[in-house]
Amino acid sequence: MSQKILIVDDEDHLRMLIEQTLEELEDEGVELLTATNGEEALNLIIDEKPNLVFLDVMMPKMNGIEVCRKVKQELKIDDVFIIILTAKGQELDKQKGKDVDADVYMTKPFDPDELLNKAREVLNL
Amino acid sequence: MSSVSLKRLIVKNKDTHQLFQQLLNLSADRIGVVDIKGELLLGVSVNNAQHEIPILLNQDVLGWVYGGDQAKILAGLLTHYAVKESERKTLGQEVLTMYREINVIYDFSEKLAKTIEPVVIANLALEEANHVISASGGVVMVSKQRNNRQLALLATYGTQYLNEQQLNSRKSPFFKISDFTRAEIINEVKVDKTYLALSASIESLIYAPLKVKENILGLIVLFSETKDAYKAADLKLLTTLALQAGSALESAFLSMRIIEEAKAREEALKRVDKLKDEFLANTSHELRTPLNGIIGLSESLYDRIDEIDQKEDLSMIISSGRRLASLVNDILDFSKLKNFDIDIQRKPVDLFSLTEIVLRINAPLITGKNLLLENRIPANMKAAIGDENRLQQILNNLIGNAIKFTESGHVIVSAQYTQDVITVSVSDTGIGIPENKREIIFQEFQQADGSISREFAGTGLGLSISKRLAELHGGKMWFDSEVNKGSTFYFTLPASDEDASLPAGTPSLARVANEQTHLKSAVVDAPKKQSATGNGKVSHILIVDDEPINHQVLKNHLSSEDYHLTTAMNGEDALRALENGTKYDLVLLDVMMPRMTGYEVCLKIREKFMPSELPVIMVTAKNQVQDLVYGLNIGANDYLAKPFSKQEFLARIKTQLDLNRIFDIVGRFVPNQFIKSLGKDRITDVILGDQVHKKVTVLFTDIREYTTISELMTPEENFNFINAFNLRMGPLIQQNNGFINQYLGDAIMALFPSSPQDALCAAIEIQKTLSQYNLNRVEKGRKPIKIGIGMHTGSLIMGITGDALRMDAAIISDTVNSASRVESLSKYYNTSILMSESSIEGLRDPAAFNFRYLGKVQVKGKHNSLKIYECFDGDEGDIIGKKIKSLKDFNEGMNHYFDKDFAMAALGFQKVLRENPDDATARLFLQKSGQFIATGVPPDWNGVEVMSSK
Repeated sequence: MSQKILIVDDEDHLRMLIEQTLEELEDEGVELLTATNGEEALNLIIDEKPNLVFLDVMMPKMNGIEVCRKVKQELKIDDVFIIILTAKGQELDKQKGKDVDADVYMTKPFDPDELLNKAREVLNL
Repeated sequence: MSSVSLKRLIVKNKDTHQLFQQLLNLSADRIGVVDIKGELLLGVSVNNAQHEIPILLNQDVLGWVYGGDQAKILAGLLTHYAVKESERKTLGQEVLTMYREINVIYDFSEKLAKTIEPVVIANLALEEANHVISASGGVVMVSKQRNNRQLALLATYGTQYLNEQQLNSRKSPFFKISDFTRAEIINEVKVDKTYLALSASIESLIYAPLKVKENILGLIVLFSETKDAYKAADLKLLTTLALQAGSALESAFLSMRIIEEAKAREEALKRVDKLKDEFLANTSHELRTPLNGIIGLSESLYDRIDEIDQKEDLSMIISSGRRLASLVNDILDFSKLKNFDIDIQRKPVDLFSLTEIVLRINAPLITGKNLLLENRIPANMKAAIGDENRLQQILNNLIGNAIKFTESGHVIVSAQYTQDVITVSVSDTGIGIPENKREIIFQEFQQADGSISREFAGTGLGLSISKRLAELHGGKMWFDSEVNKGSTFYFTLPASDEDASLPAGTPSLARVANEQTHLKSAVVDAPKKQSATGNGKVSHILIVDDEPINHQVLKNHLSSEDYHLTTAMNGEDALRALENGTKYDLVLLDVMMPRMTGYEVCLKIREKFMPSELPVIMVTAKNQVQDLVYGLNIGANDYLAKPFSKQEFLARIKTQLDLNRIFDIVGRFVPNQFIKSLGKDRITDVILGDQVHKKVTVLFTDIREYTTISELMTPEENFNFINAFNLRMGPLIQQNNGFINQYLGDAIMALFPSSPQDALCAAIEIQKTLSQYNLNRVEKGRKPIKIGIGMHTGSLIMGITGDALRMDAAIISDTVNSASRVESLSKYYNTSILMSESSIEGLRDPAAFNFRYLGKVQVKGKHNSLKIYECFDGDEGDIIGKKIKSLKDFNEGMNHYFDKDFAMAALGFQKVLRENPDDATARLFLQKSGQFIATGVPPDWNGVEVMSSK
């Protein structure tokens, strides 16, 4: 079964940028999934069981922290690697991320190479 | 870069997959889509298909569509999608590249904000550039100075491709850096010629100028071994980075230059400041000597001239000189403090006494102000540990300031003790310190208001010095202030466990206690040294100091001379010693003593002794002029400032003793009391016309029937007799606070300025002494002599009359005449001492004497009658007893006499005479009573005896 990455962001251009960054992984059999809000993200995580999620914090309906909390602490899905993506300078989110057991914390604007390397590392590619 | 995958396009993209699935369902043909690897992506496997149409993207075959005509349409559609997808991908890559670039610039800006180091900036620029623009190496170089053709390599990367020496030389391709105004890509690098500084393997090159406005600061260069490595996008990015780096470098250079300049300025200032300090210290020190000379000479000149105008000018010179001297001292202190050069001599200090001294010294400053100076430090306050001189300096400054800035109200000094710390406060009701000046008040050369400095003189060093001095003592200084209400300055000092009266570091407490009781209570008489010359009078010196060690020092100094020394540990003991009758010739008085300062002792001494009678030399560690002036003003004859040389010490003592001897001799001609009565200290101070109006008792003595006695003697014998008589009587008068105004042949006229009781005591002693004298005379077969003494108390004018060459002390008064009359009455009444009512009224202790009232007398030339009393305490022993016994009868006789009941009066006087047949007074009144009984009393008789002749 192929590995899956879920990209969650309500901003189209950012979602596209992440997709673009990670696109080369498709050639290596990785499936890229996208979601534009927290609710959709939660459903996809439950249904598709992605290996890696890039999760934005500030989103309508359900924010990233809440999604992460539900996944990690309520549903106790532990075979998903969650990377919280948040705007630079909002250091408070970092602590929130830790509180809800997010695995890694990355800032936007992101360094595409760093993002890609991280994804490869998590997926063992 | 990933290529378009047909599989992803058809299968993985849900939208396109659905679309193609529907198309296939609509088609009647069997259609199959296979990718380049032969995998079936869509439809069914079709063998021997009518068409086999390749899907082409830029001549690359992505896969094939098999089937009938319908397959043609599908292939066209797929090709279209593939092209679109390819375009999207390219676009996506470009967006991503742009995103990377933005990220780089963002990152770079963020890092630049954290540094102003040019090298760091250059390295950051190179690092960021290398992050997005592939390079084998790079360099950031700047021209060392503007328009200077020398390069500095701020950062390099890939040094193996660089010949740094050449890059930085005249042969460098970038030598004339100002030519590189635009960013460029050079893809065919001719290393052999132009780019000698680069390794031969370098194929392509990109550079951008570090530019601020039109100034080329330097260049950022990247190079690569790859051919055609750089593209337009790289150029854009590098230019952006270079612009950012350029302005960052410009600010960095600017701040470096500013810092360097500031540093240089600071260094220069420090040098100048140090020079200034040295100069100030040196010149201040050099200024002091001539300044003291000017002040000293002016002061001595002031005393010697009489012209008021000149005196005024001189006093201006003196006060200006003093101000200058105190300024110089301040500056000297200030520079010492700055160089930590001040030596603090710690010992227990009595703050109460110290404050007393400072308040006294500053008292003249309140002249013309409605200001009260108050010392509220409890007299039993714990001693502070500190340098007495420095503490006085602090107090002097704070109190001086308080007075300076306060027009009316009070200046109060108080102190509080809490936990080994004494907090001293000086509060005033003055103008206060404005809010905005409170920060600077302790800074040097500052006064609260620049404009004030015209109104209020001062260097502005005082508070700064005081604060530092307090800090040197381990204390601090601060203040509270309210504008127009006043200010309170506080400073703290460590408290001492020792008594301030004891020298610090005394070995054992038990011994201290013993010594203390011994030393404190006793006036110690040093063993009198045997006089070598024998006949000279040995001067008696009283040393007053609270430190035994100082006693020893002074004793040692004086040991080479022939003086009789007595020491006292404090002011009270010293005053007691002076009062017990011993005659001292000189007092050496320490100023700073606990409880009672030397100043107070001196004031007390001067109540009894004039400077010409008992010289006082103040011994003080103070070096401030006002201390000395104050000491001299309250009656010290001289001062000695510690430390002093033995020679100076002995010379000054000798001067005072010699002067004292001269005054002593002069005083025999003009009595000291006379001079004192005129408000002068020395005969030399008295000028013609000086006079004083005073109530005094005048005493006259007269030898009865002296003419008869003198007729039996030669003139020489007469002279000797009178001298011998006066020699005995003179001291009796002086011992009773009187002074002899005149010797008038056999008569003496003496004045007693303080009380008639003094005069009466003197009179009694004179009569007693005479009794003893008469015993001698009788033994030698001579006739005893009698003295009549009369006294009267009233006002008189004492003054100096005469002309400029010959001056005399003169008394102008009716009191003298009256006293003379009273004396002559003593002959008439046959009494030894006769006095008027006015003298009786002035007695402090009338009950201690025995009187008989003798009635009223109207003397010649007077309208008012005097009540006359006899004092018989000067009579011979047995007579006093008899007169006391018969006093009641005598008084009854007198009462009847004044009631004109002369028979009863005669009876009374007869009773008296029965007791004492020698009572000549009673006999006189018996005779008078008998006369009135025989002749009758005149109708206007009122008991007043009218004396028509002397």
